[in-house]
Amino acid sequence: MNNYELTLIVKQDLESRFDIFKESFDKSLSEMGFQIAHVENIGKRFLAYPIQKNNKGLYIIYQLIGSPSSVSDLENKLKYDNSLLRYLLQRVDSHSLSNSFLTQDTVEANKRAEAKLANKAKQDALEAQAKKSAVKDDAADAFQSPKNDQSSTKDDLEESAQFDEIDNDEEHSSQETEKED
Amino acid sequence: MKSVKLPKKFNHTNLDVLKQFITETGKIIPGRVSGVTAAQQRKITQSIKVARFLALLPYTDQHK
Repeated sequence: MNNYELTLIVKQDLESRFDIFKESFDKSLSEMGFQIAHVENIGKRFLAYPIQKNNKGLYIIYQLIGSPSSVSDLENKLKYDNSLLRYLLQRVDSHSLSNSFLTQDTVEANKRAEAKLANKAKQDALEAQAKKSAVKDDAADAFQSPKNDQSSTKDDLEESAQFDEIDNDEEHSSQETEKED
Repeated sequence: MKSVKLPKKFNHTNLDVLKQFITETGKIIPGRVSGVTAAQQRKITQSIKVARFLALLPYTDQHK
């Protein structure tokens, strides 16, 4: 009997049917004569690079105990399983029975993503409010503000024109140096 | 050289450890630069390669 570690990356499409998939997979593992020492269900993670055009995958790590003869059966099953993006079956000296760093990392990443979403929603709400108030202000200032707007656009134009001149000067000078060479 | 934190036990899932030993472009930092012992460097290299296979670390920064 040897110790094995099996890491699976399951396709993201299976997320809704994930529990069913896992149950049937556990069953087939025990049928092949593997004992499951520990299962770590990491969940959805961003892949570091796309695999078969998938950007996310569901990670599971199994710690198994089994005989070398049943490994080829398992390999055969994994090879032709369409719901897997990738798998890695390693022989290990000893099982790690506690959760790996990945679980913690994934939880943190998900938290960050949620916070980002919440922030975005907040900002959007704020912007919407600002827009609403701006519309009101515009309506109120409609008779007073147009002068200010025009003056500001004029200033902008002048500034950009100055920049253009500077650019031209630089070009000329560079050409001159080339000629000298 | 920046100091590195290397726990006694680690494997391909300890991304916070392994990320210290890859460059911004995803290359493995050579042992003569990383300053760890040869045995440690061998283990780091293997772990990074496994982590790459499992899409936990990038092979390069040019993945689409």
